[in-house]
Amino acid sequence: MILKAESISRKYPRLSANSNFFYAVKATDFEIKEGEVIAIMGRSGSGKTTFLNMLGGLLTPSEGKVTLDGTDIYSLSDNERSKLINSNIGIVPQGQSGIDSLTVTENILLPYCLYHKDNEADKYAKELIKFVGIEDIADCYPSQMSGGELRRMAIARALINRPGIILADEPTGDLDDESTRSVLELFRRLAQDKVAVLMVTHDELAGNYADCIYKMDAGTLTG
Amino acid sequence: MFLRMVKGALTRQKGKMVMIAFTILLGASLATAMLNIMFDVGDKVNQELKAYGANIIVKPKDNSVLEDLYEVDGEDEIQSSYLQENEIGKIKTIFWTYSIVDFAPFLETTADVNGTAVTVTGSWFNHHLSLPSGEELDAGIVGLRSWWDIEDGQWLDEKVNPDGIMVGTTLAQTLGIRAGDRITLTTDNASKNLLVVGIYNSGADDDDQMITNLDIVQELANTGDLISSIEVSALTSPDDELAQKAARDPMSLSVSEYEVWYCTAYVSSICYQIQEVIPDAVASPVRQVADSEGAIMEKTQLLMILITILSLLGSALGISNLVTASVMERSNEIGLLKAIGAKDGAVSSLVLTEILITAVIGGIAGYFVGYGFAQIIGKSVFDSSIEMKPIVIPIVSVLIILVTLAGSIPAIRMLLKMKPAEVLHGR
Ligand SMILES: Nc1ncnc2c1ncn2[C@@H]1O[C@H](COP(=O)(O)OP(=O)(O)OP(=O)(O)O)[C@@H](O)[C@H]1O
Ligand SMILES: [Mg+2]
Repeated sequence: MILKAESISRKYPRLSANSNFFYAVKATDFEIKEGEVIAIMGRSGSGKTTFLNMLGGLLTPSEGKVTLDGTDIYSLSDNERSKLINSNIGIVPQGQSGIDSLTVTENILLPYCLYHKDNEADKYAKELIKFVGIEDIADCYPSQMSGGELRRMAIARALINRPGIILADEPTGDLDDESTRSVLELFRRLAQDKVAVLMVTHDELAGNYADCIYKMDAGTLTG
Repeated sequence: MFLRMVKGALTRQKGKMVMIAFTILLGASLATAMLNIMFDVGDKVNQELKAYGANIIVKPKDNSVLEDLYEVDGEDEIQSSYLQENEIGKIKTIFWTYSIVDFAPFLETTADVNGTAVTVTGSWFNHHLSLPSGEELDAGIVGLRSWWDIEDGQWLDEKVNPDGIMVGTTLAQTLGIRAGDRITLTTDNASKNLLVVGIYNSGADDDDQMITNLDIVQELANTGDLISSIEVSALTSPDDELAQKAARDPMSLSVSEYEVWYCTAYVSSICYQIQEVIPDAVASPVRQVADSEGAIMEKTQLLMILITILSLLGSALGISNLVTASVMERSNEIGLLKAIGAKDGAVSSLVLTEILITAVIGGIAGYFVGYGFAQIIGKSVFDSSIEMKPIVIPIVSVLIILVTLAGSIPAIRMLLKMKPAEVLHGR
């Protein structure tokens, strides 16, 4: 699976001396293939999340296009794109995310349940829960969990549909060194199973696990 | 899982949902009350008009003219002329005799009961007539006032209670009279000791009067065989152009028109025929009363429809604010759902299901509150209890669902416009 960005940029309105808007991400070419683990680092506000969201089909670029195996994802209808993202791209959002009225297990199964009525993913969900180390709280609700636990839940949720692409925005943000390592190891292993992993991170450890590291600086991505 | 999310949202946003339910409750209760009253009162008036079979009133000529001139109820002040009791039977000799289903004479006077002056009406109750045609008939107010509610005792039977009397409920309360009591009526001319056979509730002015056999009032008023009016109930054909033309002036009709008119059971032709057999009487339709009552009914119904519409509009506005607020409050979850690939339709149906469940609860509660409203309004405005019409339930249900959906439109539009990246932007 190849996820490709062709000179995508994103501008936002912001009044300054010489223009009414600024570019959060400047025209960028980018490509990630199965089996690769790529890390993006950069200062806060440099445009990492914006970039990731554009790749993940969540934010329409101001210019340029994003293709998944040749399909321009922003030319699809909303429903088609939703389905495509659901089955091919696993997204770990920055910050804490979870549906408060569902248990950890249900939250993790949610992406699967959106398009399936059966419970064939239950076993895999259990494995993921065990892997990210939250089996003790599998029946708890998000409001009862710590930041790191929520983060791990979000990772498990991103993996439930066995996507070909994983876009993780600071997946190890709230985690201790040991948990960070196990998550990074997981990503590495997934890459061996032909998954493409793109993560935004501030963690120096990531360097040991990534095939290459890009730097985002004021909307410009450099290798 | 869908249902658990719905349930979760309902319980977590309890306060807001209660507000939404309450908004719907208000709308539903008003709609229920208004629609029930509208249907029920409409039915009641129709029933009364039908039961109030007397659609023709026959009065002495002079009297009728005077009343029309001064627009006063002449009975007490200017009762100067009378009809003869023995002329009543002539009504059954007209061309449209078989249209005449019931009739009764009336005569009023004032008598003293234990120091209180009361209006006493004399009439027929179930007066047996053997007509020259061989027809046997019971005429009187038992048929003409069939909607009267006998609260105590029973209808007066002329053969059983020649000295019986019936008392209106208001008067009975003032005088402390009950069925089975004996009361004495005194006038300058006579004094009568009578048995109270029944207490009636007519829902009208009659309730502060008494009614007894005609001959007793004739004796009390010392009028001999005279009566002041006759009410006639006739089956009539609805008026059309010809009837209206004839009503203005029968003489303006051509001969053939006249024939058709005369041989059709229009209320005007029956009146005309009654006047032919009782020459010194004026028979006039009381349809005007019914018509104006109908017009007032129509206006009242219009008002109620207006109130219903306005209350539902109000509900829709309230709902739209509350649902929008509820969606905004949950923009994070909605963004997340979209980010993991939920279709807009799925997210919308999630929100709509929550709101509709809330609406159903509010609507059911509103129906019962509306029932209470209807009774209160019925009692205080129309002076009768309101029967709940089953038809109102589907109508109110449909209205509530429409209002809820309409009220949810702005929130759903906002929801559709939400971009996952914006609501999920690392927060
Ligand atoms: N919806 C928006 N409207 C206007 N400006 C925005 C919007 N979203 C992001 N920005 C701006 O775009 C720039 C890049 O934001 P972005 O979230 O991509 O940064 P980031 O690199 O992910 O930062 P962090 O490491 O803190 O998460 C920031 O300056 C931010 O203020
Ligand atoms: Mg970010």
